[in-house]
Amino acid sequence: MSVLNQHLLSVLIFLPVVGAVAIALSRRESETLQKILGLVFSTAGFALSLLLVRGFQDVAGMQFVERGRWIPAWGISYAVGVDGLSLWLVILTTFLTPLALLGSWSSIDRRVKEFVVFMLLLEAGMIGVFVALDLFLFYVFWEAMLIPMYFLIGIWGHERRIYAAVKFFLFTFAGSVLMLVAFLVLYRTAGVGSFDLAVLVAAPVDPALQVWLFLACALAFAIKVPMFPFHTWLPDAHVEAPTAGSVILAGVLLKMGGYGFLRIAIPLFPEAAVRFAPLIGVLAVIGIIYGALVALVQPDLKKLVAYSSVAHLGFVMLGIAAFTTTGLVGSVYQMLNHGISTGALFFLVGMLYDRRHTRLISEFGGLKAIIPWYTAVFLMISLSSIAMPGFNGFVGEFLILVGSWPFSPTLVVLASLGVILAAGYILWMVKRVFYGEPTNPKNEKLPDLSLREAAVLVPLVALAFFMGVASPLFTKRIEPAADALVVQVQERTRPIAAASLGPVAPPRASRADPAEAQR
Amino acid sequence: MSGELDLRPLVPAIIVGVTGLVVLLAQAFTPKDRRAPSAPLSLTGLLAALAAVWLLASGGGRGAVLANAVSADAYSLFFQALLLGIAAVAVLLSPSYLRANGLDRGEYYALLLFSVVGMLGLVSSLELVSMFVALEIMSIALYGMAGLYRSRMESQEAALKYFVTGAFSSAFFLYGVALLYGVSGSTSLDRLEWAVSTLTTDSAALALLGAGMLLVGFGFKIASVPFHMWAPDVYEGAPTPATALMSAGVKAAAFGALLRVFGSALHALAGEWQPLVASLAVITMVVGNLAALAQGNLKRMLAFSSVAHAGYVLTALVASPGQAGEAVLFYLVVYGAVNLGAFGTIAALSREGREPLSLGDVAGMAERRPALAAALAVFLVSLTGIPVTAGFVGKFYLFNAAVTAGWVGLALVGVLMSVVSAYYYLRVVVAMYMRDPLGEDTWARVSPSATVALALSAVITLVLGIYPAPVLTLARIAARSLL
Repeated sequence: MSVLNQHLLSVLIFLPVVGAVAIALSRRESETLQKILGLVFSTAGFALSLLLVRGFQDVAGMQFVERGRWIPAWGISYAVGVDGLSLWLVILTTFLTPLALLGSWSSIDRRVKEFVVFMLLLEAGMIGVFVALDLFLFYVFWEAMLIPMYFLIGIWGHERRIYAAVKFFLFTFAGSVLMLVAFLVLYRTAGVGSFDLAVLVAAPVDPALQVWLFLACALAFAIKVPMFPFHTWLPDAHVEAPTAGSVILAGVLLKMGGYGFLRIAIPLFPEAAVRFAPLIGVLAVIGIIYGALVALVQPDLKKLVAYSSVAHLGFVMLGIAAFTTTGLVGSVYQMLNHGISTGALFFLVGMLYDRRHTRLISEFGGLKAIIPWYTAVFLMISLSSIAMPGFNGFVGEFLILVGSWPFSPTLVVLASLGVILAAGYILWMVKRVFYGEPTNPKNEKLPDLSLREAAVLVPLVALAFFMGVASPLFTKRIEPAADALVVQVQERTRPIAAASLGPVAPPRASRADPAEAQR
Repeated sequence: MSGELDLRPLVPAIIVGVTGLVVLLAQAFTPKDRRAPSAPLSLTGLLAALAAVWLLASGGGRGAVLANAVSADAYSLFFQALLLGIAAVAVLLSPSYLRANGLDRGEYYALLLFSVVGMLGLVSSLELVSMFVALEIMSIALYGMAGLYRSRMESQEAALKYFVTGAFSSAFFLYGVALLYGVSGSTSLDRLEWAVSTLTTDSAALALLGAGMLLVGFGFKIASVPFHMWAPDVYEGAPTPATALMSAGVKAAAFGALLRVFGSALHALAGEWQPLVASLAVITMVVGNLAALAQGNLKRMLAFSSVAHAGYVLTALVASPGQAGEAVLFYLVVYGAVNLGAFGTIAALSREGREPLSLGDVAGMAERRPALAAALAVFLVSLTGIPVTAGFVGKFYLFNAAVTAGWVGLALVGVLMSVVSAYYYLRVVVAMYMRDPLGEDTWARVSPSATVALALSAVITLVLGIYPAPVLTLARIAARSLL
């Protein structure tokens, strides 16, 4: 067991690769075998990832660390580890992948082998991004993961899939190459001859240079999040991707942006990060409002969910920009929530599409009477998505809003508007699709959830609820790492921090006091 | 030396040259109704030469011989091994292609081997006139190969164009040699190095002019903008395996010589020529990539991509010779494998005088030929420079060298142009994987020897992308011997 624990992260990364190779070698015709193998490998990955939770200590610092020589000439090592920021994101990845495979069991009916192979490779890449502790390794996973996603959208997507796939690829690739140059410049100026993240964090960079390096990295991450105004690839990619692609894209891929800020951009370039925090905060709130307003007017269900992602991730970025422990915990938690609720929404929309081959809201109406179970699940996930107390979304958004108050009360007030708008666009959509009299005769024979579909949705609904009521189980693991990050950055930026960071600046800090705020 | 004639450093080149003659003779003595064993003979010769390189590397024979004109230092041996490997893969790709296009004649292999002799000489010359002779041996053989399709206009055009521009560039090169001779009183690189490090202001201008002329001469061979005009036409018109050899081998050999002259002999002038090389790198990357965007023909697209890649390699030359050497050497290995693979895929599908040249020709390939499509996708992804392929590690190394030398702008242009290149490389992947096939699959079954060649290229591309350390170490050792 201890041997497994020592190499647990590597096993998690490479198990899907082994699975992908095994499936690639199988015969093209044995599609069921390939689906089963894919499910077995990804489920085994999920089971193993639970060992991470079991062995995880609630302290700051990296755990399950593994180091190996890789390219010694450049000081590049294979270094992986998890802490509170990445732990749940890894679990989210291993959790969503088997569900995505199960969810596309029947909707993917051609080139099954390649589909399963790409899904597994994608999983490996995503886990790699979340656990890499070496910048080179991080970049390798970050980019390598583009390729399977590109194929998933381009081969199994809808009508405009090729346009969407190429746009997705070029946007994210353009963002990340600048980050690569930033890494190279950092490597040179730090002069420590290593790409190890911890070593580089300990080697301070001249603040003037930091600005450029931070901007280069921030661009890569902001495109991935995606933050307004870098979000335009997202609706295309989401709408054109097959269900499994949308689920993974929304569920996991977008989290890499926020995670990149927390793991790479902020620790490496703290002074610059503090300087740009107000800008990020403002863009985040614009994203919240803009995403919600655009979602409000979408005639297409999938587009609506896609734009709601822009709004939700605005919250995540607001919490990161605020940079208080509470805000960061909220952001990480909200990333998980978004993965679950938006992932589930994409599954649901996909299931409706499988039945009717349309996603237009106007084609539906009164579905409650025809498919009651589906409606019930949809409603619960909607409530989770609009942050209803009792569901996970509430905890995340609440923590973010509370944590961001010291940063900027104005932004918090504006962001709260976004919460209301979210309720608006989701509930209005629910009303038009599910309530009233059935309007379209084509919908009269729709079958309700099948057993397989229920098997996909039940874990998601259960988790959305569980994370809403038992949030401390999750947040207590995130908190030490978030706290350590805040302290680390404050120590590095003390002189500047007095001007712009809430908690260490007395005048702002007093405004954070709720009692005083009421007066 | 003591008057003893030591030919050991020349053994690989001699083996290849003799094999070329044997191939010609075998052709002459084979009855008309039988096929001469040209390909197996060539392959044997190349592998024997590779073994000789191996023996030289593990044993002695490293000193400079023939009046300090030729050396078998680690640098030469690295390049010789690389060039022989590239040639061997090109030979593996050739038989089925030549048969499919009615070109199955012994001359092709003889010319190929003779051009390899020139390449081997180019990378191991320590003296400018020997270098020029080697350059000409290589080029003249290639002119012949480019024009091998006697019945096709494009091939004739390619040969003539290549010949005329080649002669033009040779003139520049020679003039450069003459000017440098004027500076140093010698054509030996050692003497030249010493002379340029003790320049007076008068002779500095002369030395720079000479260096500039040499750069123009090399610029033609590596196909850097604005000396690249021949490349698309020649790459398009030549038989595809010969194109593969040109893009992988000629470029490697020319960069090998370029780096030796500029990185080592003319290093004292680096402050003067580096801005020039940097601007060449920028326009080469920009023009090469933008022009590739506009190409509909796959061979022309790969030709412009090959121009663009010359630009990427040039970015590393602004670094210190050691670091530039490592980066360039590693990149040329990667680039050789990838380009052989990309052109090789096109060649392997050739049938009855046709080859897949348009996106429509490869549409839906992933469903009909999954393994072949996957291999080509790997090559294209590697050309784009995305992990986990060797192309990423190679570009990382080049741009790292430029950044370390303080030329961040060069690296920026490089990565941004890589994004542009993603568009035209991925267009092929889109066609293969995301479009439906047009019409029947009338392309050839890939022959066993071509399969070996493509599999080898693909494996090298992936292995160097995942575990590059051993080759990096070799490149480092080789580059050190330049200093």
